[in-house]
Amino acid sequence: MLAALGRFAVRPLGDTFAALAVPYLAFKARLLEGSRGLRLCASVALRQVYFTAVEPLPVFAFMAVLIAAVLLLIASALMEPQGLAPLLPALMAPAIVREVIPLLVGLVFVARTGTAVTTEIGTLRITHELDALEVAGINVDAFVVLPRVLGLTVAGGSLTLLTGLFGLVGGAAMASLSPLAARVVTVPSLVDALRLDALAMTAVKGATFGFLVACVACRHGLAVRKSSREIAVAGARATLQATVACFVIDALYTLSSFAT
Amino acid sequence: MRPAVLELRGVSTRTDERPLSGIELVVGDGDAVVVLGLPGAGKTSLVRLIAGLDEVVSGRVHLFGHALGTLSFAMERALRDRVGVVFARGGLWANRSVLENLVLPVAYRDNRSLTSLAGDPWLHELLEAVGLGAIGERATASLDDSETRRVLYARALYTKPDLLLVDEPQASLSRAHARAIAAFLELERKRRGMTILYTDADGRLDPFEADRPVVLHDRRIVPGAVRLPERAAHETLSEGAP
Repeated sequence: MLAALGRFAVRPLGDTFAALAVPYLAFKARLLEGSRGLRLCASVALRQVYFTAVEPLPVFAFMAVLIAAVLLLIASALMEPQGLAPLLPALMAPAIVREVIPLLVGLVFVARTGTAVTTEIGTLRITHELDALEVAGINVDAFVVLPRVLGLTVAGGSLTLLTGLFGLVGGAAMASLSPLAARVVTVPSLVDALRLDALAMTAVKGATFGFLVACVACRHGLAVRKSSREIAVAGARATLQATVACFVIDALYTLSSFAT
Repeated sequence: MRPAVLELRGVSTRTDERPLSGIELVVGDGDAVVVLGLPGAGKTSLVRLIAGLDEVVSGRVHLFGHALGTLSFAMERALRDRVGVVFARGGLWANRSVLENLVLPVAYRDNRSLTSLAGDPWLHELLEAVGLGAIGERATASLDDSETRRVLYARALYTKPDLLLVDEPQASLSRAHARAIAAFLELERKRRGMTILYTDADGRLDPFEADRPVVLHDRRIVPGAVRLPERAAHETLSEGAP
């Protein structure tokens, strides 16, 4: 019982270190490789950014517009009767763009991109494609892992920022279209309420989520050894760990920004 | 004796499978050696060991006269670049075309784009040699087993390796394709002095040719042996069954 409790307490630490070893080994490999494969690695990273941030952007934009509009409407309906309408722009704009949207994007990132990366790397392992890379002189950490870590970090930051801005568009649309919301907020008041540091925090959170998702997904993908069943297990573990990591990091960012 | 391209002294490995133990093997420059061994003897593990995929836990590995494990990362990488491997199955990069599969290692090594190598005459000579003349743009998913194996041969040869490791050379090949590839490998041996290490499960390497056999049994090299040990009765029976 005590041993089981000990394992329960220690395992997250081991998982965290294992996930953080992923970018360390990848950057180290890149340094050791020098200029070898730099061009190909850059193209893999760019492709990762495209698949992660550009291709799904319309879906994320739609989601952001919808959520921001709904939240603004609910907040208007609840706050106006209490005489809190003047606070609404200052509350809603940063809350949506800096808090709700990054976490939402992070979770979708975990489900969509994280699972895809774990599955892809796990499949590369069991089909011996990773072995083939190694024997062909292509460093797996530099060619497979690092472009995904960098790609997902860049994609996470930019996608979250863009989605946040689409959230603002959703709020502005609701402020223009709904008589209830229009009584409480105006488009200029929403825009004014959003400071540059809030946008920077949005991008930083998104980039951190992207980085975490990439590290966790690569770590579990690389841990697959022989059986295709392991891929499903790795995917499930990666999803759970990346979700927890996103919540923890989100809380830490928010607490640190409000504590100062 | 010719200088050794590959020298394994008392090498034991750590793998997910059964490890190799106390491996002693010397392959001279330009030699063609066949490692004979029954299924499970450790032939593929030996290829993985030489290719650097499995961890060596004891003993010494010398490649082209240099002791691995004592060299800088760049030096060891440069030695590894001189080794080509043809595995018996698997290993094609599924999300890339045949052409991309062939040129990726060289493009990576020389930091070039994949398209910059598409017109390389050596690439087309290789594709012709393995009977895959017009296959370059095809997706690897559309290849049958024989085509896959021939792409693996072409990919390993494209880097012009000084040491070629071939696991079960005839696997998945028709007699005609095997003959064509064996002839091309012999040509490469004569042209560039390429060293080849084959593995074989039944002692019938034909049409591929080796200068000498080495026998691997129960994860160890058998000193002085030139023939496979007797098969277990059930294996002989199942092969003789109609």
